[in-house]
Amino acid sequence: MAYLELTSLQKRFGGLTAVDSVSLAVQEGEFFALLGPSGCGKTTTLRMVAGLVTPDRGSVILGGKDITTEPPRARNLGMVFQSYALFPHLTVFENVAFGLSLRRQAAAAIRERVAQALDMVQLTGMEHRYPKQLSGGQQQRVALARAVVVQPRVLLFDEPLSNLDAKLREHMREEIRALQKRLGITAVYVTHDQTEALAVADRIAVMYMGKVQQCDTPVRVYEQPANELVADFIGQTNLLRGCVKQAGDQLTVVTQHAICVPLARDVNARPGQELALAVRPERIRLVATGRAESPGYTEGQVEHCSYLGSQIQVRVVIQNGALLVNTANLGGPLLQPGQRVGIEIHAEDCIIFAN
Amino acid sequence: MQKTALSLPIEQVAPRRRTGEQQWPFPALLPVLLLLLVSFAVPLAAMVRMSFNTKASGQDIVEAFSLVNYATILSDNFYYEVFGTTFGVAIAVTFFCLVFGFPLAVAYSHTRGTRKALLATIILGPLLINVVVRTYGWLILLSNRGLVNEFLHGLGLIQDPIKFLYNPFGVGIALVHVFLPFMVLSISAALQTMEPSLAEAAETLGADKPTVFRRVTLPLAMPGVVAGCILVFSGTLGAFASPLVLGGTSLRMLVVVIYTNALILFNWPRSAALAVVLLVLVLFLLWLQERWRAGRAAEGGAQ
Repeated sequence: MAYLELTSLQKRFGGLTAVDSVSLAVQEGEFFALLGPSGCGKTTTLRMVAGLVTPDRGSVILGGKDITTEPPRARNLGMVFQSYALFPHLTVFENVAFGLSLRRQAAAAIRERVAQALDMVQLTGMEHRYPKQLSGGQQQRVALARAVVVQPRVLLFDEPLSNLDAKLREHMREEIRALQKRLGITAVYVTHDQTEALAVADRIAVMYMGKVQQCDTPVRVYEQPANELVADFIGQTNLLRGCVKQAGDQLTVVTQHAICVPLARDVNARPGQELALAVRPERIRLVATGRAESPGYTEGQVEHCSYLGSQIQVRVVIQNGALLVNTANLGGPLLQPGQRVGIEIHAEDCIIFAN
Repeated sequence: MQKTALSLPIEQVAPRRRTGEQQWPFPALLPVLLLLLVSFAVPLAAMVRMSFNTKASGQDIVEAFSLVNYATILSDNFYYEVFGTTFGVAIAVTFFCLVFGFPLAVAYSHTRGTRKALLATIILGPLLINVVVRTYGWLILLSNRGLVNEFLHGLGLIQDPIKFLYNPFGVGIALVHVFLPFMVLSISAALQTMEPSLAEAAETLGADKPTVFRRVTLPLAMPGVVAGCILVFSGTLGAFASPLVLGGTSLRMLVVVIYTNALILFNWPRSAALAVVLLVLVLFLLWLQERWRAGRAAEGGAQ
């Protein structure tokens, strides 16, 4: 049995089903991310774990004990809020000591543990500052220290980094990850930022419209998305709809753009079947023009190039549509709008979804 | 007394002189400054001047620079009694406004949408009714043969009518009624700056609801509580219509005594001196609040 288990959680707000039979199992010590667009139910799910929202149906089981109806204070969880939720009238020390003082610890023990926690987030010396005298990143660290210091059974994060600037966000997520691994605390981390989820999580549950679409490791969520929704949400995806044709003993997908992609032998498909190919922009190859005979080849016209630094994204207009193609920035001149390019798509770079 | 409160924001704007372009006095403020000068500052100065004149009973006012009125106020037991009654009523009214107002403010800051608009109308109701109408309304309700007594008598709960009028009880009821909105709005203004996740954070850290209230909600509502108490307290000190109509001249509240001195005894100098004492008291309270707030801001704890 998993350490933290959610079984068929259901929550409606008015006529809207925010969370729809969500079942998840989080292992002890695992860094588990809930990922999805805003309004997908990920925060509501987290709040049900925290006890801030009572589910309409289903249960939350922690360490083998059903805690569905327990109030937040009885659960011994640590939560880091999007707004940090630091008490503005208390100093950094008092903020971090808040949970400990409620647990009736001796003053000396509180001082020692607060000092340890502040040392852990590199805020030693800031004890007597008030939250508004700290930068966003420092406030974030105080929130983290305050949640960790009570030695919670699970650490909950609700979009903790969304108020920080990009550089600091990357830095903080590494720190959070390192801290979680060092302390061995089970963590549930809500984010809408796929890069963040891919970078920090051991496993990711991708949510959409209140339902878990896929629950897997970052690699598999990215490389083998369970459905079109996941493929579309995680990273960028070109979705090519097409129909399976038989050519000799070879099955080939002919897409709506008239690209013929030969399928591998082990793919389970039959002639006449409608399906969709999802290809990541970085898996499409730009090749020289005039190779009409090669499989998966088509030609198109560059619409525009987005310079992304390490990569260059090219939007290529082809027959009946357009494709996004990412190429590594190898220092050559940028493609010009209007230029004709060749494009090659290989079956092994595609994820196949049956319609 | 409300004029004193109104003039404060202008004083607070004054130090914000930064660039040459935005000079003070800002020309558009001139009309209102002129109005305040003519209708407020000049009469106030005249009142202070008047308080130094003398008047013996049955004789004309004599121009003088005498402290005899202040000496009388400070030495006569009658005035100590007046201040005692006035402060007693003010403290009680403030206390009950706080007790009734706090839960109302919490409810008000938690509701949204049409419910909030409805609640606002109910809370502000007393202020929308003219003071004379409101006061006579209470008279109808609270008199010996008024609605309340008739109703209780009809139920057989009382034999003799409860005496609400011409004592602090009735005046207190009417003043709590009219000053409650000030308390509610002050406190809810403070509560609205408090984000809901603070209470949630406290709960996840192990606090039960009373602890959340004591350690998070209450400290953050304190600026509103202090502001509300001072508004209600100074407002009660300066209230006139309700004490006069419901308390009569037998309930010796300060403003009623000022009125009696000025318009019945025609002792304007003493009346003016009493008014100056009241003014100084209220300014002192506002100064105390300002100092408290500045202290909190310096400490860094205030938002």
